[in-house]
Amino acid sequence: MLIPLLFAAVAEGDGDLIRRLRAREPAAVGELYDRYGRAVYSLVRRIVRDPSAAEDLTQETFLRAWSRSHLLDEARTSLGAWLLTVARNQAVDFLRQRQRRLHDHAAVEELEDNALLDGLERLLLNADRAKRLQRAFARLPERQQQVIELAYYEDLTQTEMAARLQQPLGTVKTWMRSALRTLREELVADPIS
Amino acid sequence: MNCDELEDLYGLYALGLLEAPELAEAREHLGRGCPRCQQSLRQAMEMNVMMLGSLSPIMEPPAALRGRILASVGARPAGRFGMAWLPWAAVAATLVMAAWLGNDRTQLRSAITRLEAQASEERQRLGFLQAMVDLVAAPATRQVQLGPAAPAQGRVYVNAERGVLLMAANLPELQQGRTFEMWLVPRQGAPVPAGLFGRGPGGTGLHLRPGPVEVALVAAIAVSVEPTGGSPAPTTTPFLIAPLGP
Repeated sequence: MLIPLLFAAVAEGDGDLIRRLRAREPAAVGELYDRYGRAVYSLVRRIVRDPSAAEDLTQETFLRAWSRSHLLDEARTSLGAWLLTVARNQAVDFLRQRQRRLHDHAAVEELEDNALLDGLERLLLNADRAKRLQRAFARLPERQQQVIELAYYEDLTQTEMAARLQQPLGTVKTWMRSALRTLREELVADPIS
Repeated sequence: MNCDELEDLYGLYALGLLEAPELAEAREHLGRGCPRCQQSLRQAMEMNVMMLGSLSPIMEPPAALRGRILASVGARPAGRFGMAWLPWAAVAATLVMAAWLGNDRTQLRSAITRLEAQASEERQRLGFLQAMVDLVAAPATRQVQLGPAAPAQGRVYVNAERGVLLMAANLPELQQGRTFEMWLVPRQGAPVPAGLFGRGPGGTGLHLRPGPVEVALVAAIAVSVEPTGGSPAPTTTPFLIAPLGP
């Protein structure tokens, strides 16, 4: 079952929410949760698979929006995109600590606050492109779907995937590259003007 | 590697999963401001966000989670804490009457709206309770007695990650226009405001100051009587103090 794109109708109010978060209005966190809580929880739960941990991590994600609201640009930041990125980072950090694996997470932490996240609101407003992405994913060969899910939901490097799947590293890299190229081409086929 | 070869790899880079030697190559391109690679990274991040938001199966979070989150940012439930009794019977009677009379979309809508508002309040209260239980039950929480202001008595629970919970009994009556204010008293410097609370039934007091606390820097938790709305600094001598020790 695929989650419908939840953000198309609500991204418009993100600027006001950011202002209210910065003004330390607790009710703004409630509205933020009402808009994005289910999507965040669904993503975290998918990654950690532990309901209790998923609750804690979802809470941490929204607390982070509260404590880091000063870093958000009310004119450009997509709260949905920002929350999902934070949620994934929290979830994979949890998995990493539980499994005692170390990754170079510096790139991801940097990107979480990076201005490149700004302006994604336009993208998230385009539900049609999201549906095409979902269909493109569904059309991928099984092995390519598998490596995509291992990357997005289990935070495995290609080396770790090769070990898990008992395949040569070169084979896994080929699958991953092909999958990402297919999905990327689906997105750029109809670029946002 | 050239930009074409890196283009397909920025999705992994954005997830923090790109490994050597491709990671070094990507960083080198981005570090020198390659516009093609900057654009590829942006597209990859866009795709990642859409993937994260589109591929997870829908799962409903627990009903109490919203209240927990609100409690952790200091949102107080409406009304006096102490679990005001929900007039379910009165609202239910309204629903039954409306159905019996057979007319009442308007009354039904009003009743439903009231029920939803009350349910929302209860979720907040539940979340508040959950936050308190979590703090008290956490292994790292310290418990310290409040004193010395008999007959007033109580204790504080201090947790570096979750905050400070105060529970008191036999609190003095408050004059009109006054409230209790909690303070974090540092080892050096002026007391820091830590929230306001009132006097509950029978002289009880319950107050949660959520969020991280630098426990090593706090000498004591204190309570004083202040004007309604609180003060930035104590205007009366704190009458309840819980020293945290060295």
